[in-house]
Amino acid sequence: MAGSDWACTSDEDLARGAASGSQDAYSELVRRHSKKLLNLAWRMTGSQEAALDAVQEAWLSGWKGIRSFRGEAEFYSWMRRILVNGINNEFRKRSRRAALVSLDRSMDSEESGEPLQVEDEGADPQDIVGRAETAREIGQAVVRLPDMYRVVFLLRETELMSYSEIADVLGIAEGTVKSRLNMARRMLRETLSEEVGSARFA
Amino acid sequence: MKRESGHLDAETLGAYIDGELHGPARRAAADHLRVCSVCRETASALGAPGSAARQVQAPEWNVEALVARVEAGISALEAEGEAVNDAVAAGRRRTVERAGVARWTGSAGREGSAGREGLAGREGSAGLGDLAGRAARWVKSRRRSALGFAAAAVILLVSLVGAAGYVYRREMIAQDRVLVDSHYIIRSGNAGALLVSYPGR
Repeated sequence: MAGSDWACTSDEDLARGAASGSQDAYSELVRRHSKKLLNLAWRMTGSQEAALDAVQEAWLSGWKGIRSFRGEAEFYSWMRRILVNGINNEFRKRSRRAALVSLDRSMDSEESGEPLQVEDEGADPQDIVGRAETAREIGQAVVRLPDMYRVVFLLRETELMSYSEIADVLGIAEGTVKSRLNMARRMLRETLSEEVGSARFA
Repeated sequence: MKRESGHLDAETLGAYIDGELHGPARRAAADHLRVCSVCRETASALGAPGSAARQVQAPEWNVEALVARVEAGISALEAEGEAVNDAVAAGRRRTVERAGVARWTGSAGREGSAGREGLAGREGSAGLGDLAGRAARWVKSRRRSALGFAAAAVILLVSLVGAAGYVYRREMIAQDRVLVDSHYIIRSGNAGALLVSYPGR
């Protein structure tokens, strides 16, 4: 069924439809929410391929558990929680596997050669170059952050979630969210001031 | 929360820019920021990585390709589920049967309510009818296989009891014979005949 047929159906109704077995209703949910989920997964993993796999997995878990969606939260938040938990589990597995491998190396292999793309529209070319440069550097610096800091940082800064929402999704205390976020910001600031410094004043 | 230096610490500043400071703490931080340029600078430096991260442009995603992947995955999941139900209908494995019952009662229960609420009628109702039909067929086939199973169990039980009775009777007769025979053998003084007559015992 074409996506437009569902245009006037709310997420909640679609989820109800999916719960009673309508795969078309579910496909419409996938169509509606995948872009944001993919962006988040891509920021978390630093790789397009890993993001696609993670989001696909999340949608399949979502289908299996669709009956537990009661519509108390927005459907996107419900899916986001599934996605974040899935990626976090992958991180945990990976860090157990690669306990002895240096962080830099594991990150390099994770990136799979896909450079982060950078905004290339705007008015002032000088400004664009400067912003694009910073954005590219920050993107790479974020990917290099240790998992637990990166996840908190992204949920706050790109998903604009509150501390309590983050704490809830990750199953950690709000104080922990606060301190990890602070740590992430400090590390990013240090990385950036080093890189920008060496690039501009060398 | 001020540090010894008299400036706000990074965590407090971070919470401030995130809108996570409330009440008196927020007012105190705001008052301090109004007069302290060092803290203002720190606050904007704390916010910088976040605003830069938001400017990193995400790739163009082929959402339709993902939709197709998800649909294929779901079909595979459903096919797996149906295979389980087929196994149940054939009454091959009791454990599988139990999983199947949970599956069907779960979906059938919801189906009624969602159907009445008439979600998005069209495609949905066809799916529901199909589902209901499958559920009914499954229940029917299950009844048939349950009957078969019960009959088989009864036959097995009867034959087991019969066999046990037969064996028991034969054993009793044999024992009697041993007793009787050995009585005569012992009486006749030929104890060696015991071993010859009953070598296995």
